[in-house]
Parts: sequence; structure tokens; C-alpha cells
Amino acid sequence: MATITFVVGGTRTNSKNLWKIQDDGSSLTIIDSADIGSVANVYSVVGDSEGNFYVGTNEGKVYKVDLNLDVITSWGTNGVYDAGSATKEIYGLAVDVNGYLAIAHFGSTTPTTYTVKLLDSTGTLVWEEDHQSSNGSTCVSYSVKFDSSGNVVGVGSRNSGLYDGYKYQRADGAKLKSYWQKSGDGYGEGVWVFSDDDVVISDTPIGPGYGINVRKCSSDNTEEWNVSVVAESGHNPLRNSIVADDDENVYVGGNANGSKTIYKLNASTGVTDASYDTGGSVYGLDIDANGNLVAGGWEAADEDTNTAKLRIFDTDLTLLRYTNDSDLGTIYAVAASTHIPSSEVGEPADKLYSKNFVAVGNDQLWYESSAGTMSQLAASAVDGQLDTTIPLTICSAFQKVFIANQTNLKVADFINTKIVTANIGSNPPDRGNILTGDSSAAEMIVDFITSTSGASTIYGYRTTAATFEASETISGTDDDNNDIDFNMTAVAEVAPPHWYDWTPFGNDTTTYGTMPSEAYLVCRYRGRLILAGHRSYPHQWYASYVANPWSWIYSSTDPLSGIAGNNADAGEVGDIIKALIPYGDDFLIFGCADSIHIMDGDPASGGSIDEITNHTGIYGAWAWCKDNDGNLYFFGHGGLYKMAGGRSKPVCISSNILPKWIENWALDPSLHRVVLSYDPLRYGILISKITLSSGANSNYWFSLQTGGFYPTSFQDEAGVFCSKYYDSDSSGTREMIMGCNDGYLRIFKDSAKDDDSGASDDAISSYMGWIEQLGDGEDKEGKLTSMTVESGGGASSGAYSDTDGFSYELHTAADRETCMEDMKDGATARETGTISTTGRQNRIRKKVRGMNLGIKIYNSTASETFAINKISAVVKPVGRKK
Amino acid sequence: MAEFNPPLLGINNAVNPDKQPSLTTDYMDNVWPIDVLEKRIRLGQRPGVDKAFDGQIGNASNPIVAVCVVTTVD
Repeated sequence: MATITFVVGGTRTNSKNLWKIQDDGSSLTIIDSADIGSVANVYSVVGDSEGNFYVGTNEGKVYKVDLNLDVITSWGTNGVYDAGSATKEIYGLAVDVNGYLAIAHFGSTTPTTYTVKLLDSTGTLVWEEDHQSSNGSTCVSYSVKFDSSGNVVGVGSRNSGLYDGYKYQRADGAKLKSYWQKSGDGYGEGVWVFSDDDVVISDTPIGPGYGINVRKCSSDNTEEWNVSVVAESGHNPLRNSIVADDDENVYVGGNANGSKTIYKLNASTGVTDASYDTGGSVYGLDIDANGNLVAGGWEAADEDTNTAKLRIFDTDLTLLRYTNDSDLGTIYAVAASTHIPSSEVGEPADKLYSKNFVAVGNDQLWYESSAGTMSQLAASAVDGQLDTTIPLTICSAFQKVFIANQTNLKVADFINTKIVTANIGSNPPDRGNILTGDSSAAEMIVDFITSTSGASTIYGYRTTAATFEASETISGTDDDNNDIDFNMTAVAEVAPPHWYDWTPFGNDTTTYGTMPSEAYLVCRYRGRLILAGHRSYPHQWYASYVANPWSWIYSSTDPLSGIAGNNADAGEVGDIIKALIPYGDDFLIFGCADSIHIMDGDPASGGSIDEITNHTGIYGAWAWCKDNDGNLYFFGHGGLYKMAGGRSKPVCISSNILPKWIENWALDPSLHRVVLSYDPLRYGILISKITLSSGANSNYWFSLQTGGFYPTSFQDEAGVFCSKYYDSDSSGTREMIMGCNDGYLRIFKDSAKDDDSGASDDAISSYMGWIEQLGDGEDKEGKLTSMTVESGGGASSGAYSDTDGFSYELHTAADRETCMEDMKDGATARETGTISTTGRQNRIRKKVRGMNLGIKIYNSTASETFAINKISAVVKPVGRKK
Repeated sequence: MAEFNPPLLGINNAVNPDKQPSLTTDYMDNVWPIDVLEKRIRLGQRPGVDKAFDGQIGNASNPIVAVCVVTTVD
């Protein structure tokens, strides 16, 4: 259970009437308190989405306080809304996500006395309305809630034939609906509105009998159930003492005159599933952040013989803990659903971001919508948005993903909120302007707009909890101090992610320049988005404004301006650009067809482009990677190249080991892709050749620990088309992730003994064969008399993981080449066997004689893997080869 | 008793087998120098590949052509 903190209010005790309570799962502790209104008792408390609280007192006033229980003087009048001295008791409060506050309070004997009010987020009255249900002696509203449209539902006293409750229209307080017409005078005491706008009301009649009645209906007053919970003399529900849990079970609090004081009503039927006697009246009920019921009221001895004012129950009404702290007054109000943020109570909150994996395939962009789940960005799948059969690269920048797919230049926006207008007006916003919703008070920082005139879509980062509402007026001031003024369409704001065309800001090419008409290479360098790969201008590169991917206009006097090769002193690249490889803010490598170039510094401020080598180019846009030490590896004309630090002359590190690599792979760029994938967890690089049409692949694993190359093969389905190390927040996906031929994203997994091939798993066929000299001299033979194998795992089970079994073959031949050939050709071995246990095996007493011994170790059994510690042997010389 | 020298340094086909550098071979596949059991430098079968996410990108058996990571503020 997480430690949580919540707020309660009540009778002024020891000069305090508002308390902050900490529940650590074993006890309840007062950690802060305040004296709200000095001489007042607190009757109602509610928390908003920003962690502030609204506090209603018995003096007809509402205060707004912050996390520290200090009055927020910028709200209302010096932090106070005064409903009028004659109003007195503020019984019910409700606040919506936009900071609008609904108030239910005591009125008078006049039937039309206003007892329901709505304040805007500044604490200014929007409207006040009557309950119009005076029972002849008092007119009062007891409880209010908002529905999903921001309308107010309130209940209060009534005369016979009138209603317990009404729905008041948000805009002007007009009564939209009435709830629960009843005969006889009485009181609607508590109201709860569900997320689907269903309404639950607790009620009691006036006069002999009293009792607790509860009714649930739909928003249009269609009854779902109506129960008489209890009919005990003098026993009635208490104002505002009603709450529902996540399963829509309803909890109702009553006064002390009943045999029970808390009732749990079944969500579907209203039948009482549980009840509890706290011994005293229960005025405040709420569900806390742990899903427990918090109940506050009189100090009294409960049915478990505990004396308390504040109690915590589980949802079956089992008492968990309680407090009767003498500093607490009688509890009239509980605001437990608003958990005070952990930073307030000293818990560190280090994580302020989220990471999401993004993948492109089948003409669609998908993203990690929740940990471990990939979802389609639907708009990307519309015909013509993407074409994954033509070259495409992507890069992340500014909390978005930028896609270069030749003529399809797109943005996947994961941070901005979207609002739409049919007419952006004569003063469109500039990037960075603040826009405010006139009625919602929502605010956003403008990032991008699709047009500077007429219909336009605005993307910006919303900085408030309040959200932009449909049809509302938007205001602001542009960079020239002109008023921004437009109306949203009848569509409220839309949360990210979004998909849109990558264009200059507002598509205004006069002010923000022109983007290339096509590109398939994109990267981020020095805060600029860099594009290249235009088929008609293959030597050209284009750079956006620094930190502004929507501005491409060139200015010779602005070192941050957009710039292209033909503008810059650095010039264009003298070879066809095939890859963009940024090194932070230091330099940018252009991998070209037959050369490697490096751009040093900023292209608009003294940057230069120099040729590093013309002895090799780079195979393609995916044929490179960097290790953790900043070394660059790429596949070039001679095989695998390394550029130490990314700057030095490239050196071919494979030619002395795999001189036939290029010949064997027989690469054709129209048929094959080469991908280099750096795995920091395994400290190596996977070099993959994949056939574009079929997924047939050949691979080498290059170990940065041993410096060796290790042939590796996968099923066609798992052929690697692209890869990225994902430093995920979830350990399960913190791996090098490979985009594969069949549309699945895959990882290397140490616990996987087979390869996933989509619908099934395939055994890994692993083998190695090598030659040992048996003779003790030139042209001499030896005799292997025994062999000892130590397989991985020590004793069976135990601290070290155990290998599975493997098989072996022993070949002999007069020369090494024949011996190796026999193993490769599958010739009949001299001896064979199987190792099936771990640790040192019993000596293998198989005797073979010859000049050279070929040993093959292999395993192709499903669900098996192996590791070998050591192989040793007893070999006796037997003389010269005949 | 002599200890044999399996090809811990991987493959090398630059020379004929008669001159094969120590700890290398011309014949191996799917064997890596770091084992999957204890992640030590010793020869063993490479790790298998497994799905990172359950669903197919694009809901079809078409190649994934590009991937990246995007980070956003909460």
C-alpha cells in the first residue's frame, strides 16, 4: 500500500479546523493543519486536479488553499468567495477539471432562495439558482456534483410533489432535468454522478420514520433501482455523505440514530452488501488513492469498540485503522480522492518523462501506446501517407518523430495538443505565442500551425490542467503585439499523438522558407533537422533553423537560420549522399557512394565539409552504427570499417579475417540491404545482409570483447531490416530491438533457446569445428586415447546455470584442409557421441589415430543451448605417417 | 594431457587450414564467445531471438523498415 495524504475538515478545535492526514498503511497521523476563517467550522472540502483544495465553512464562505493549506489570495477576493452572510453553511462543493466550482448551501424559508452556485476558475460567480423545493421551513441544498459535460447536479430539501434534485446547465444554470419526484416533504441529502452520468441520490422523509432511501437512475431520470436501505426512527442519511468506488458500489453515511451508520449498496441492485456501526454520525465519506473508504464524523465507540473520529475501511467495510487524535475536531468533510503529490510528503519523484518505441512498416507508423504494447497511429495508415516500399528513414526530435519518405515528409507528434479553427483570423499566432481559452482558461504554447489564414489546425503544448472546449474563443498576442482572436470548431481539443504533413510553419514559404520537395534521409544535428537524399539533387543537404523544424529560410546574418549546401560556405557534398551520421553537436558524417565526408561545426557559422576518404563509401543508410566509445563502424567497399572516434581515417578491420566477405555476399543495393546493429548489453555488433524480397539473410556477430567474427543465421522471418537500442523504462524491453522481415520486433534473449519465427519457435542449429594436431612433429601421427569434456554449469542444478547437451564428431585426416573439408561436407566421422550432463564428464575413451583431428561440436535440438568450459585429451605419439 | 583450443576468437578464412591462427576456425555458425548461461567468455550457442512486442507492425507480414525512440515529458 502506498503512503498517501489527504485532507479533512470539521469543528474548530485548538484553533484548527482543517487537517492534513498521512496514512502509511499502519496509522493515521496529522502532519499539518490550518485555521480557515479563524472562527469558522469547516463543513465541506474538495480537491482539484492541481492539488489545491476548496474549503466551505459555516459562515457562508469558500476558501481556496494550496498544498500547504495556505489561502491562495489570487482566487476570489483574497482567496475567499463570500456567498453572503445570511447564507451560512456551505454544505457541498464540487470542482471540475477546468477549476469551476459548484456550491450547495443553506438558504432561507423563501422557496426561491438561491442555494446552488457556479463559480469560474477565478472564483467569480457565473450563475446562482434556487432549488425551488422548500419544505416550508428551510430551503437548502446539501450536495452537488458535476456530470461529464460540466453541468451541475444538486440535491436539497423539497416539498411534496417536487424533486430531490436537479441538473443545472453549465452555461447559465437553467434546469435541464429533475430527479426523483416524491410525495411528502423531505430532503435530498447526498448525490453522486458516475462517469456515464448516471445519478445516485440519498434521501430522507421529514416526520416520523425518517429512514434512508437511495435511488439510482440514468441521466434522463430513468430509474435503475430504488431501495429503502433502512427505516429506523430518527435515522437519516447525512448531507454529502455518499461516494462510489471504482466498481460503482455506493457507500452512504447516516446519523447516529441507526443501528448502523455506514452502508455499502450493490452497484447493480442497491441491495446492502455490507454495513458498519461507527457509533456516531458519519458526515464525510470518500475513497482514497488506495481504494479504501475514509469515513469521518463524531467521536464515538464503534462496533469493534474503538473510539475514533476518523476511520479507514476496505471496500467490504472491514475496519483497517483509525484515529481519535485530540487535535481533530468532529469531522464534517473528507477529501481523500485528491492524493497530495508525493513530492509534498518528501518522496523523491525523479522520473518526469516517458519513452516510447516507434516502428514503421506496411505503410503505417506504430508506437508504444503503453508499456509493452504497440498501437497504430491511425492517421498514418491512410492511403498515400507513407510508402514503405521506397526508401524511408526517421528520427526523433523535440518529442516528435520526423519521417523522410521521399515526397512523404511527415510528423508524428507525441507532445502537442491539437485545436482546430475554421478561421484563424487576421492575426495568426506565431510559434511560441501563448493561447488562452476564454471560457476554459486553458493555455497552450504554440508550436506549429497548418495555415496562417482561413481554416487552420494549431498544435501546441498545453500548460494547464484545464482543457480547451469545443467552440470556445481563443485569445492571445502575436509577436507584433496584435490580438489573436479566433473560435474553435465544435470539436474540443484532441490529445496527442497526432499525424500531419511536415511543412514550414503555417505553410508560409515566404516567411519560413521552402522545404525540399523530397528526401529520404533525415537526422538531427546541432538542434537542426537535416534532410538529404533528393533524387534530383543527390549532393545537396538541407538544414532547418536551430531548434525549429518548421523554418527553412536562409539568412546570411543569422547564424541560427536554415541553410542548404548551395547557401553555405561548406557547399554541397561532391558525392551522392547515402547516409547521415550525426555526432551530437560536434560533427556530421556524410556517408556517400564512394567517399566519406565530415561536416565540422555549424554550417551557418563557419562550418566546413571535408573529405575523410575516397577509398570507400558506405553501402547504405542503415549500414552503420556507433559503439559506446563513440567509434563508428560501417560496411564499405572492403567489408567492415572502423573510424575511431568517428573522425579518423576509416580502417577495414575485416579484410585480414574475412577477405572473401564482399565476394561471398555478392551485394546488390537493388536487392539487398545491409544493417549494422550495436548491442551495448552484449558488447557487439550484428552485421546483417538481408534480401529485400524474401528476408533471406546472412549475418556476422562482431564481438567487441574478443575482436572476432562469428557467423550467425536466422530464419527468413527474423531477417533484420533495421534496429535500435531501446533504453526503455521497462527492463523487459531494454534491449537492442530489431525490426524484422515479417513485421515483428525482436530482441536477443538469453533465456530463449530457440528462435521465434512468428507463429512458432524454431530450433537453433549451432556448430563449430576446428582442427587439432595429433602428431608431435612434422608428418607424424598421434593417437587420441581419451578425451575429457567440461560442459558449463558445474554440478547439476546449483548456483550456476546448467548447459543442455550437445553432440560431437571426431574426424582424422593427413592434412588439415581435408580434415576441415570432411567436417564441412558431412563425411562419416571416426567417432561420435553425446554429452548430456554438466561439469566434468567421464573420460571419453574413444581412440582415433591420425595426423590431424577434427572436432565438431553441435546442437540442433529444440529448446536446448550449450556452453563449453574446456576440452582436454590424452594423445600419444605413434610415429611417422606411412 | 593437452587442452584443446576451440575457436574462441571466431572465424578466419584468410589463410588455409594448415596455417589457421590459434583459437579460430573456418567452420562455425550460431556460436558466440559469450555464453547465455552465465555471460562469461566461453563458447556457447548464441541467444535466441524472441518477440519484443506481441503484435505485428502494420498487422501484416511486411518488413519493418525504420525504428526509433521518442521521449516526451509527462
